[in-house]
Amino acid sequence: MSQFRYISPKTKEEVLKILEEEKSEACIVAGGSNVLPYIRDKIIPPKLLLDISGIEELNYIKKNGSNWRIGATTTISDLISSKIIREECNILCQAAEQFADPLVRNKATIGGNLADASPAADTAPPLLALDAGLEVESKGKKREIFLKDFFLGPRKTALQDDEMITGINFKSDSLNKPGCFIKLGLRQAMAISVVTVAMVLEIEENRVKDIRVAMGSVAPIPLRLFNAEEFLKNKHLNDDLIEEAKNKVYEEVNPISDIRASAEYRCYISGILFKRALEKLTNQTS
Amino acid sequence: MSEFKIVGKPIPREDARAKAKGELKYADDFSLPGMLYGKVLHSKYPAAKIISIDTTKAKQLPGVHAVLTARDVPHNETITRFGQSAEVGKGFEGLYRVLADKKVRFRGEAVALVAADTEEIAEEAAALIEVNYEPLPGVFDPVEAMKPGAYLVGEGDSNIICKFGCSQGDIKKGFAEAEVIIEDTYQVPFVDHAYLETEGGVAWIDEKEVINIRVGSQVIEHFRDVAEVLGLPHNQVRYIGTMMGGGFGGKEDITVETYLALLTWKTKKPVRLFYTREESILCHSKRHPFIMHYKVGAKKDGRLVALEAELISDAGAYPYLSPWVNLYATVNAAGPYCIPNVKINTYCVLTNNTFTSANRGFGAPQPNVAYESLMDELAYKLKIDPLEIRRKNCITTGKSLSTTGQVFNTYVALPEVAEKAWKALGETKKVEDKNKRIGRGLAIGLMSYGRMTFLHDTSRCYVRLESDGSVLIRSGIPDLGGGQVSLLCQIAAEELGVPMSKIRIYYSDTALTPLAGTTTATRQTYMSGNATLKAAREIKKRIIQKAAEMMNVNPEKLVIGEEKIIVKYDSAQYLPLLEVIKACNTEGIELFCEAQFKGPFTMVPDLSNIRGTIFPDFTFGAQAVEISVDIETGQVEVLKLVTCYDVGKAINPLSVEGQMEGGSIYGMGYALMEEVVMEKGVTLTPSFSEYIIPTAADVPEVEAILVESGGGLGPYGAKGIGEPSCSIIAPAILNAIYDAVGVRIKSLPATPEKIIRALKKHYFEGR
Repeated sequence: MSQFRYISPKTKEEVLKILEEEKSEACIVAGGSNVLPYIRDKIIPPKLLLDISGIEELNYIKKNGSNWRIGATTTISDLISSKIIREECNILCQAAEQFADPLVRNKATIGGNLADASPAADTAPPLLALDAGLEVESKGKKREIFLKDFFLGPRKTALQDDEMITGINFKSDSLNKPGCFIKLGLRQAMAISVVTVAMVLEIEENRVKDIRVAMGSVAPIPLRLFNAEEFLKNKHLNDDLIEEAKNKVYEEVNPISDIRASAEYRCYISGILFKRALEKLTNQTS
Repeated sequence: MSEFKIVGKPIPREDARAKAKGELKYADDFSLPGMLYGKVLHSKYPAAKIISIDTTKAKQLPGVHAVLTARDVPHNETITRFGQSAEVGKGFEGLYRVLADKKVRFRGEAVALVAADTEEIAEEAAALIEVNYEPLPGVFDPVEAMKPGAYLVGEGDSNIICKFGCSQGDIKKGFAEAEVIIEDTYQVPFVDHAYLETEGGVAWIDEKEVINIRVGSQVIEHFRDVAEVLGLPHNQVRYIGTMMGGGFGGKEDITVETYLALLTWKTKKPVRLFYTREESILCHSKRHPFIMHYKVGAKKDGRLVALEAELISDAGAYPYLSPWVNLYATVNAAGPYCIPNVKINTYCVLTNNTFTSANRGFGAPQPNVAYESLMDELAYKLKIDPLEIRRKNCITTGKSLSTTGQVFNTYVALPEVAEKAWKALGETKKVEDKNKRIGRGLAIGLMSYGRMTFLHDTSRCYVRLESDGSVLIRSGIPDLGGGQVSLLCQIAAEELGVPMSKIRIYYSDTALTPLAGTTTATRQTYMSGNATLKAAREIKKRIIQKAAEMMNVNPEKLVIGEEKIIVKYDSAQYLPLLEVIKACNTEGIELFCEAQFKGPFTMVPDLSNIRGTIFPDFTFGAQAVEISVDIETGQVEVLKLVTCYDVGKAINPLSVEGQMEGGSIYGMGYALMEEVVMEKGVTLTPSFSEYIIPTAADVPEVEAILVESGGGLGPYGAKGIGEPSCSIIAPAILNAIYDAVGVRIKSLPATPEKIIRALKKHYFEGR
């Protein structure tokens, strides 16, 4: 393993200052569940490791009225053990519970999972379905990036070299309860997703009043399925409609073939999981 | 029967406490002052000419102590052996090449070695070695490699390294008599051993100029092979074997020992070398993939009349243990069935893939997939119950193996285990999910324990009763984690009437412990168990003889137990063991013994038609599963798994159950998810993120049913269980998938995608 410089700042301000100075020379690490394998595989060249896992001010889950805020270094285990997430934002809890295994969940953070920008990141689809935004900061500057605009490609994001994700926010609206996350992996734990779906849905008299749906591992980035959403809005749900909606899904996804599955299988499964999410949510709300 | 005090009891193993507390020192938990770090440079091409190797820059790097290539190896080419002492002839010997010379044969082949002050420097130095390759086309498919004119992997004039045959009856006549014939081709993939502990160790030179290698190895007898590579006398290389974090056949060949020996010999410093997980997957042996073409014929009532099979296996780039593995496959090819007309042909072929060698089951699990799938197909075709068709055809006591004709004179438990396993599935589970279908599958099988009899196998053990009544054992036995070491302690404790806490054992050291032979071939309970039994009984005999004199009774009236020598049926009359020991020591009666146990010896068979006794004995078993298949996603969940074997006698039932449960899950991974994917010799599954094995969360309810017939050749009638335990679960799962959804998966692993492609043919056509 190569030699790295390592700093573990205690405050966010310190991190931002170092980022301003070091820019792309710095690599932020929190749980290390992505960064350490990248170092071993020489995907990350030797540079400055900026360990933010000890920064207390970035670890929080807050709900103020209908406004949710989750700090960037909140671990996946923190999400699972949060009563308020379980009771009022269960879709995120479902995703967290299917994330890797307990050891990784204790280390991996929600900010890191998003910043890694893997098409298979398990927290991305539920947050896309929640219409989340990212709080992004650099020295003396704050901005917000919608999650749907954040992913640019595999391991590519809209973050600038001197920026870091400090938190995630989203609003509770009529769609958010309860939400559904389904993951298809090749085993029961430590499975990199073959396909995932996250969906929130509001039904009124068997009519789709509103819907947001996102999928993982079906495109170069975690994907919001806007066309499928639009197609379903204001329509009465029945089996024929669901079959038609699956065709919209097939048009929108653009998966690759890799060691885990072929593009054809992923495409087929995206339709199945989409249908299952719809069925699950309509059964729960009706 | 319950005269045993320690044998047959589910007691904590000798190694349990140290392992539970994390105190056991595995190969990796060891270092020496001034130790260097070794690194291997692996070939980046699967097939290429080596034009030149320039090590100048690597040698100039500060902190580098040695950079070695083939030219620096005294005897770079020797012969693959695995601990056997009998001459077996050319048919089984292959080239063992330490470092690639002139030509590389697989991606990951060792090309050069480095020793440096730190692991980082060693890695950097390896990267500085300039190898000028000229890529060659290579051949990656064994069927292609068999054809005349194919690219030649090695230096010989053919890629076929062995061809075995086996036949009985008249195959033409057999098929003419058949009323139903089924023919099909089955394929099984490369798989990895996936042990927790990768290959590695530490070597140093002691004050006697002996190269000591402290390493996890299933075959410490490789000290001879390492000595021959270095051109040293055998007694100048010493293996100190450690408890292993899994072997599964992957530590049966030499792993890193020659590299360690060469680096320490050149630098005169201690050297440490461990494979990373990626190196372990890329560069070390895999289980043989097989293409198996089968044809079976039966009468309408389900009676088998003919079986013909052609097996082709991929040896990868070097022979290693391929001939042996293929011999096992040939002998197992007709399964545990009585079939009057049989013809088997097996070919093993070199390719430019990663080499294949021993992997738990050693050639038995592969044909089991084929014949047990076919038996199931036959059952469905003839509308006969899966249990019934097996009962109708399976070998019973006094019958013989349909490949070699070896006769079974001891109890053949097949009908019993088949019925027990099938019935133990109990009531069918109810599932709420409308997309899930439940299915059940059964498979039966047999597998040898103990090495091939023409290898003339032996094992030795030394036992000493100390003057305070404690016991010391020395045995060369390597322990893979299966409880091999503890087993010997249990036998000595039982025989000498002392508690387990009074036994101390030294194991797996070629200089100091009597050689016990390899921990392979499911042989240690049988071989070293018997050697220990023999040594302990010899000492017991002397103790009892002395006690009889002291008590003035007939020695036959005395038994030993609880540290006393007791008169049978009169426990009030006894002598403390200590007193008898004292008397023996006073008179100079030897309370130590090194005993050797010999397996049955036979001649090397005619390899074109292998007949007669090849193995000392077999273990019989059955496995049954209940699974669910999701008809929309193809996902399989194993709901219940039953494993039932006649283990002869379970010396430690906890260890036996552990083997049966672990073996089942090992086989379940083979059935459902494991595959080392190679594309033109390039491994696409180099880590545990791509090469997936079952996790704890994937393990179903496992019920282990032990049948104890007492009919084994091991101590107290024990049979071996290590390998048999994993060898038939895969076809049981395939049969359950068929039962659930009517789809026959003919190539492992049965992934969700393969199942869904078979179920939804119309959807996938044209996509």
